[in-house]
Amino acid sequence: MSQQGPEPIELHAPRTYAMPIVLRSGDVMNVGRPVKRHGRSRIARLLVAFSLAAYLAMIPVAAHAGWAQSTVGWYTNSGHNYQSYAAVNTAPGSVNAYTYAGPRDFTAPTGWIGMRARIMNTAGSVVAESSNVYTPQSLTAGSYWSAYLGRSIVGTWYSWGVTYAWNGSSYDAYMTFKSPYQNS
Amino acid sequence: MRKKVGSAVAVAVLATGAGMLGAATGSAEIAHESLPTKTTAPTYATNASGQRYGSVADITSPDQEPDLIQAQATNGETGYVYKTELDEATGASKKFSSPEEALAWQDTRAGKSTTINVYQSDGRSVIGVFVIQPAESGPAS
Repeated sequence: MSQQGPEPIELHAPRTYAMPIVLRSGDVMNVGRPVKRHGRSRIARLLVAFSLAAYLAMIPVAAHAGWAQSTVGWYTNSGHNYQSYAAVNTAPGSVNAYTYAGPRDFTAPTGWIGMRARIMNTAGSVVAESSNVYTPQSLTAGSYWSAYLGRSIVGTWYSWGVTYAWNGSSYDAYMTFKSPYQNS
Repeated sequence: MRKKVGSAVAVAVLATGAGMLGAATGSAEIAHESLPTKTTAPTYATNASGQRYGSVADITSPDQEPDLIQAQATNGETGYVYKTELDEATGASKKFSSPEEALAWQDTRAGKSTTINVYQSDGRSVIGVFVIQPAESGPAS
């Protein structure tokens, strides 16, 4: 089933580049005449350039189409260490959300780990959700199992999964970290 | 004058490039960190029936979800689905006594979608539907 979602939005203010005007005490501002500077003015200009470059490098980029994944989250349940993360993959008109979970440092028996995938929009609404998946085979340390779902929709999305760990008598649930935003 | 401006611009370009290269390199390395410990549940609005409703975007555990979860219906409308219905459809509310039981349940749900209603915040007025899809799954490196 497909639908038309909201239009893609920019997630940050548009980049604008403005050359800062820096007046130094050594400048002599005479209209119609060249500006005289002391030798240290060059160093000051270089510092300004470095600062500007560093600032530009830190501006977050907009959501793009393609693959993006969350930080890998670690957690411990009943003495066993697990890891999980969420990922989103978009193309024009479609989005797929993935949830990955696996054991960090032990072999998890069949069915010990569960997970499901969610697609979220920027307004905080759940847009799509899968049913739970439980691992149909044992998983060795460092390996993952995944659950994923896809939708044919246009907009800006992120993925956010739920994972489960068997504690010996029931499953305990953990949220993954959220994936970055991606546009479809 | 031109030389100085030129050198400053060149430095800026080089520094920006270096910064972007660093950012790109950083994004290629997958960060690892402990999941956040469970925090206090978000504060939700309450409807006339005493049901809590809102977005789950700020929860740290599924048990912090409200009675009515903000969701987008297949028709694009934003409303709310009942957590009880969503959990039943996803299997989240199942109380499995063993992993084998969970796997047996999974087999019964293979390939099946479940459709639940999307309501206004009153929990009564239906504005659309929400489909819980069967997950595709598989190993990953």
